[in-house]
Amino acid sequence: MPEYETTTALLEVHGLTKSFGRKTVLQGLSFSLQPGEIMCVGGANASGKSTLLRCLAGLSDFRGSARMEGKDLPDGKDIRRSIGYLPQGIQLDEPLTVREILRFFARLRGVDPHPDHMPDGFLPPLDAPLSVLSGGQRQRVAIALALLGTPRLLLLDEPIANLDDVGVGLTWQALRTVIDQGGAALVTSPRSDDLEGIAQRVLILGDGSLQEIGTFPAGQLSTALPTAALGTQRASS
Amino acid sequence: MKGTLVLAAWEVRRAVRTRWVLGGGIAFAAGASAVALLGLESARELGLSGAGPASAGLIGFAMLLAPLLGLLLGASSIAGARERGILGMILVQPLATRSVVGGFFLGALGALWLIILVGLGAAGVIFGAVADASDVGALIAIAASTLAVAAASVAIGVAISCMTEGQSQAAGWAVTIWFLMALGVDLALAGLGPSIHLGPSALLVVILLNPIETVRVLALLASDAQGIQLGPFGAYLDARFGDQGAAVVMLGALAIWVWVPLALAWWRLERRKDRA
Repeated sequence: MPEYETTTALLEVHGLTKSFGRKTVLQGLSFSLQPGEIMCVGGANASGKSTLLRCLAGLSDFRGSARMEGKDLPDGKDIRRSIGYLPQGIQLDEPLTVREILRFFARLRGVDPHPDHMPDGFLPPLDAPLSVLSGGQRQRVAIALALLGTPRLLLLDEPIANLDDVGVGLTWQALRTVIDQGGAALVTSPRSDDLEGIAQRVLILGDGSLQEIGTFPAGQLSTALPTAALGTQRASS
Repeated sequence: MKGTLVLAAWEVRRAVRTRWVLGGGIAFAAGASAVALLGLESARELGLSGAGPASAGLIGFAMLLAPLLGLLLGASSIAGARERGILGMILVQPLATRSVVGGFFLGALGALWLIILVGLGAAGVIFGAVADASDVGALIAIAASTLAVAAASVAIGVAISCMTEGQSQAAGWAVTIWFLMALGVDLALAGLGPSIHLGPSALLVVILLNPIETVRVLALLASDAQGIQLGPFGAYLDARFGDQGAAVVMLGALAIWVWVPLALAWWRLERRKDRA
C-alpha cells in the first residue's frame, strides 16, 4: 500500500472530479495528506491547481469525496474552523488597517486576532492602512489571515507569488510553525521547485488529472517532470 | 448571529471609509433640503401654514433616492466582495450562508440608514422652523417609511448581487429595477390605466407588487389615517380592511419584500456551483 493511503490521514480525497459545463477540469483525483505534511500542488497554468483548492475549501462543488479526519468537506462549522484558505491573487484593497482586518477575520473565526505564530517582521505595522502597503506586504497579511487560529488544514494558493526572498523565507517559517502543531498544508505553485525543502511531496496536475505524486528533493520538477529522477508513484497505478 | 453582526459592522465601516455614506448623505441632504425649501415656499405662496402641505414633495423625493441608493448598495455588496477576491475568504469561515447574506444585508442597510438620517435630518431642520405639533407625526411617518423602503430595496439589491457575475453587471440590474419600480409602473399605469379600467382591487395588487408604491401608500396612511389623500383608493382600503387593516396589509407586503429577496439570495449563494 502506498504511504499516502494510510488510515491516519488528515485529508483523504477520492475520485474528485470537477467540470465547468462540458469541460472537465479535474478528473478523478485521489490522494491523502498526513498530519505534519506539506504537499506541493504543481502543474502548468490552467491545470486545475486553484480549482482543486477551491473545491476543498467549499467554494466550488465537485463529484467524489473529500474527508478531513473522517468528516466530509466542507460541511459543518467545526470543519471550516479547521481550514485556512488563501485564494490566489487576492487584492486586499479594503479600507482597513492591518490590525482591523486581522481582527475582522479573527472575530468571524472566533479566534484570537493576535498573530503570535508570525515570525518577527512578517507583518507590516499593524496600524498601517492596507491601501498604502505594497503587493508583497498585502500578500503577507493575506497569508496571516489564512493562518489565524492555527487551522489544521491549510489550503494556500500560490502564497509566495508576490513575495521577495525575505518574504518567502518568513512565509515558510510561519507555515512550518502551524504545521508543527499537527496541521497539514496543500500549497500550489506553478514552479514546484519553489517548495523544495518545504514540502515533503509534490502532486502534479496536468490535463485535468493527477499526473504523479512524487517526493522531494528535486530541482527537476518544474516543467519536464522527469519521473525516473523523483521516485514517483504514478497516480493511475 | 455574532458572525452576522461582525460582517454587518465591517460593511458599515467599509461604506463609511469608501465615502459612500458621506457622498450619499450629502446628495440626500442637498436634495431633501431643496425639496423642503421649495415646498415651503410654494405652500407659503398658497397661504398654507405648517410643514404638512410641503412634506408630500419630500415623500416623493425620498421614495426616488432611497430605493436607488439601496439597490446600488445591496447590489455592490456581495458582488463587490467577490470581485475584490475577499468573498472566498469570508465564505470559508465558520459561518452559515444565511449569516453571510444577513451580514451583507444588515451592513448595507446600516450604511443606507445613516445616509437617510443625514438627509432627512437636514430637511427636518428646515421643516422644524415652521412645523407645528400636528406636523410631527407626518414627518416621523416620512422618516419611518423611507427607512422601510430602504430595507426592501437593499434586500432586492443583495439578491441581485448573488445572481450576477460582477459589480458592474449588478449595478446595471439595480438601476434597471429601480427604474421599473420608481417610474416604470407609474408610467405604465398612466398610459394603460384608462384603457384597461383598472379597478381598486387590481390597483391594490399592482401596489403590493411594488415595494416603493407599498411604502408610499403606507406613508400616506400613516400621516392621514382616513386615507383622504389617497382619494377613492383610500376609501376602498378603508372599506375593505378598516383603519388599521390597510396598514397591516402594507406592512405585511413590505416584510415579504424584504424576506423573499433575502431568501433568494441565500438560495442562490448556497446553490451556486462556484460561490466566490
